[in-house]
Amino acid sequence: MKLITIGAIIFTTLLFTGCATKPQYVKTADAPITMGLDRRDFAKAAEAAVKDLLDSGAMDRKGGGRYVVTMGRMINDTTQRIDTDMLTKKIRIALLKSGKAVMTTAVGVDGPEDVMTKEVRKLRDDDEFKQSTIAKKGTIYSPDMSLTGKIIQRTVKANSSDQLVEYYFQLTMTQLETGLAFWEGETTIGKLGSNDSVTW
Amino acid sequence: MDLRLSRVYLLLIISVFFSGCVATTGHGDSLQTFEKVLKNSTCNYAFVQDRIEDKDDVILWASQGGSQARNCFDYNRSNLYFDKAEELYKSDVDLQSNANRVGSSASSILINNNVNDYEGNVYEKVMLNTYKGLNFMALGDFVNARIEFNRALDRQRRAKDYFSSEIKKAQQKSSRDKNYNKAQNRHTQKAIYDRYQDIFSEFRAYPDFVNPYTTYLSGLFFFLDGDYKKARDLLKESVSMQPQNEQIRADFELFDSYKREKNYAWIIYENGQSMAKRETRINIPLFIFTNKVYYAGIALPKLYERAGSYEYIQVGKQKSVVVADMDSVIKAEFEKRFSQIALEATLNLIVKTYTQYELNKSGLLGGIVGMLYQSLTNRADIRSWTALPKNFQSLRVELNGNPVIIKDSRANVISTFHVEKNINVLIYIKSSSLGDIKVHKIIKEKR
Repeated sequence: MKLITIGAIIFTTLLFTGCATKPQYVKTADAPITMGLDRRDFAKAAEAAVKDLLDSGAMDRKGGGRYVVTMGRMINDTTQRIDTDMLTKKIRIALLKSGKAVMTTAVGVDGPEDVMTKEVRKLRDDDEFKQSTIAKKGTIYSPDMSLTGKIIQRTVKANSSDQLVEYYFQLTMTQLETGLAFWEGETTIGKLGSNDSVTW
Repeated sequence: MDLRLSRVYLLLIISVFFSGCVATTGHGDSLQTFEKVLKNSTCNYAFVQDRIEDKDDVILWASQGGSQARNCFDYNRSNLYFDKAEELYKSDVDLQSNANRVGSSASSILINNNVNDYEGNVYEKVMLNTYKGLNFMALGDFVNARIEFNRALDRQRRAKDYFSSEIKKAQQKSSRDKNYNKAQNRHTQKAIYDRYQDIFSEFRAYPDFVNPYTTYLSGLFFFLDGDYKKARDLLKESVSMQPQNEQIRADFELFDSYKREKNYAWIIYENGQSMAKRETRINIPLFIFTNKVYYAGIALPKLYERAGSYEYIQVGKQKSVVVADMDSVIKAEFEKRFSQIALEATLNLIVKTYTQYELNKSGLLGGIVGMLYQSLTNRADIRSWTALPKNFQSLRVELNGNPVIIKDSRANVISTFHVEKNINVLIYIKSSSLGDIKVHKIIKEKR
């Protein structure tokens, strides 16, 4: 009797545990997983943009040195709720690694990205702080360039059961002294899939 | 009792038992209760919340809940409800498997469509994203508002295709029903359509099932977001839909050559209550028995008009102009869907009439059971998102530093706005009935 009970417990345990889905790493496949934008799309767009930007020579400062770049407005003109940082962060990392530019976080389109640059300067009259360690006046770098962009989505019906969705990643590097666009780039990603539902 | 009859009894009992009360009561009571909730402007969400938690027509009640919360200026809650409905539109309607669809059409033929989950209308999906866009605008979140307006416009693009392919698919499926030819009998169909002449004749549908409000409002949004090119393109589309509309034309001309020398306030006014459905019963001839016409009562949904509120609103001598008639949008879709609704209801009636005929033959008890089954389950599906307005109106006034005094059509002051200088704004007003006015938070352009 005891043996039967143990057997039943083992059997039940196996039955109820066998089907649970264990977490796993997403394998990179050639075919897109979704009609929306995913990690690989951002990686591809960023990689292409950075290569084009660096190859263009727009970031080669005369006499050497690095440009200071700020982030301008990135417009998400798609139907997907995405964080445009997924694209811009990759570009920023690549620019920094290239040694041709540094990013400023003290000035941004919706205020400074890092408020601490300004905050630490408020400590100038605070006796509790060693004044010689507080940033001096006139030391913050003003940006030379601004990176702006837009992600546009265009969806059309391809045939009776499929739809084609195209994403355009458009980027512009503007020299702030002259207001001239030193570089512009566009990467397009297209996906073909079922027309049963919407792309988001 | 022979075996066949006992099977019929069993089938009837099981059908009614498992389909729940709505098979016999319909949805009229719950819709009426919600009307009272809306009318009393209560911000108690228990009624919709209970239904959503019970998974009872979540798409319908989440949409209604979104409207209720918007009326209470709780834009975050409103978007939570709308998000819920949108999620289900994708998983339970768009991507529903064919197997499930066959099941739902079988139960609608055996019982009635009330037992199936509410699947909404295309115009409701478009309005869902439009309201979400408006909610995000009110919250000052133009990034997410842009996404919602893009979604609403994409749904409009899909609408045209939906009506040309999906409805055809549903009709093809019904045409394989063994009673299809009997249901399509011209005398039977004529008896039905004669009763719908009043709503189907003399109305002009907007082209391609587009809701001109979504196009126009999206244009205003993109203008206030500083995307003048996109705003202009959308207003151009709006003008092509309604070339005689003075307000739309004037706005297009402004967008076409805007130089920021002047600033404006747009006042959008949602007027009254949209068309809703109620049940109508028609005695129609059925030619299902040889050499004998049999008359039976069919229950069908029929649109009816509900009242408007103030005819217009005004600022100074300027009056608001209708930019989109929601009733026309609703009617156009209902007309397009009606042939399938009538066909399914007729097929349903034929099956029930046969069943009753068989039971009648079995004796008195059988006759009573059959009659009860038929009369109890003969209910029309009258569900729809009833919180929508009758029409949308717009009025643009130039800002000159003076306060904007908005009055109703009886010259009573609704609200006074003091708008800061050098900025364009959107003011949103909804009035479902006289005396019930909701003035939303002023929306300032993004600079």
